[in-house]
Amino acid sequence: MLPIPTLLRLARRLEILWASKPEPPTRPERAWASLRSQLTEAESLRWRIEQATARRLDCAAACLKQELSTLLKVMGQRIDELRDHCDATPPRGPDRCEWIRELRHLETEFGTVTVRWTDTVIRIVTEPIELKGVSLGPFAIEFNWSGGPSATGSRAVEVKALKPNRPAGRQDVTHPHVEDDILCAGEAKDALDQAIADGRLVDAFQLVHSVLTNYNPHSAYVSLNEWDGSHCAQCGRRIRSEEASSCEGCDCDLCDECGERCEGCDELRCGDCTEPCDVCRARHCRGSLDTTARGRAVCSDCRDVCPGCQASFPKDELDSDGRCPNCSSVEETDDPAPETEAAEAIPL
Amino acid sequence: MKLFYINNDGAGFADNVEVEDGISVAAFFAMKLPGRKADDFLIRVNRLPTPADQVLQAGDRISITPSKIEGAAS
Repeated sequence: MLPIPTLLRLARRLEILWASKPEPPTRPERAWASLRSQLTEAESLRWRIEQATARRLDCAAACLKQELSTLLKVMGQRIDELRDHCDATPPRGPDRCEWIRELRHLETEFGTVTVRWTDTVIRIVTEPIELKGVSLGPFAIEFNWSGGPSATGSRAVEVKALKPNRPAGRQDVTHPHVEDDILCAGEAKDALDQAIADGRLVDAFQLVHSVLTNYNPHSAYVSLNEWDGSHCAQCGRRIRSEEASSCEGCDCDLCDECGERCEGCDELRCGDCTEPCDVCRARHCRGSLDTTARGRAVCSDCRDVCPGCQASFPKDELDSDGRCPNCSSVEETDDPAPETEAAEAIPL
Repeated sequence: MKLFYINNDGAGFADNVEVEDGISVAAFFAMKLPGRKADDFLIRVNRLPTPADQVLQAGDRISITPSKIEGAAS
């Protein structure tokens, strides 16, 4: 429980902030101005009636009396309005005792209440919240009293995840209806603003709690269906955790349409963890291909041994006899001059 | 008799209301929120949880707050 000195100090502070300022009794200005002009007109009518009566202009006098009667009736209504306005008690916020009851009630409903004077914040912590099987953890609901009764819920209230379970790719979202620690109150907005204006803190906190413990699938920053997913490292598409595969090279997430299997070992890998053979173009684990003297990356299936020098070469560099370029050229050099066929002697 | 009634449903409302003597919490709820389920609301009388059959007294403060409210993404 809040210590008594803290409770009293906070109640006094809130009482001052929520106390309304009484309006001057001379308002509203327009009604008073209207009454003044009507009084002037009534005085004029009264003089004209006297003149008409003195001159025995009975018909004129009767019309003027009717007009004056109507005007006095309207003036009476105007005076009643001004009297009601003058007598009305201006709305006042809770007094100190009421604030003490409010704060103790807040403790009863939510347990420990924390007060941070430097931040002007009253803080409570909710129970761990789970929506549609997604655990979101407990939240701290923080009410900033510095704005007084005119602060709206969106400005006065912050909702902070204490054990955040954020959706993939959205570090700013901790709850389907909380972004950057600001709750979008939705249907609770008007009632929340009114509760703050009236100084009904318990109602305000309960309304926020009611939003946190409910899920509106039609208007969420991130749908709960997509909460536990991730993004494919190759195409960027959002994938559910149960649909995701992992690259066995770098462990990144892959969707079911991306990733390739190494032709050699059949492991699933992302594009960055494979490379193509320069001969057959099949993809293999990066680093598993041999690099030739010419800098070509070749898989084992695309290499063969030259019978001449017994060295390994890419198949597409071997001639039809399977000899490497060097051995092929040496063989050509060593060959004797081709035998010319003896011309058939022609008898003389 | 007069009660101070706080309705946190919709736009919010807090004012004195006149009701018949001896009305219970359940009857008051049914009168003010017809067709709604009391289980979907937090009902407090004089800041305390209360059974549905409790009889309200003059000057009681009764608050009714929805326990499930749809938020949004602004």
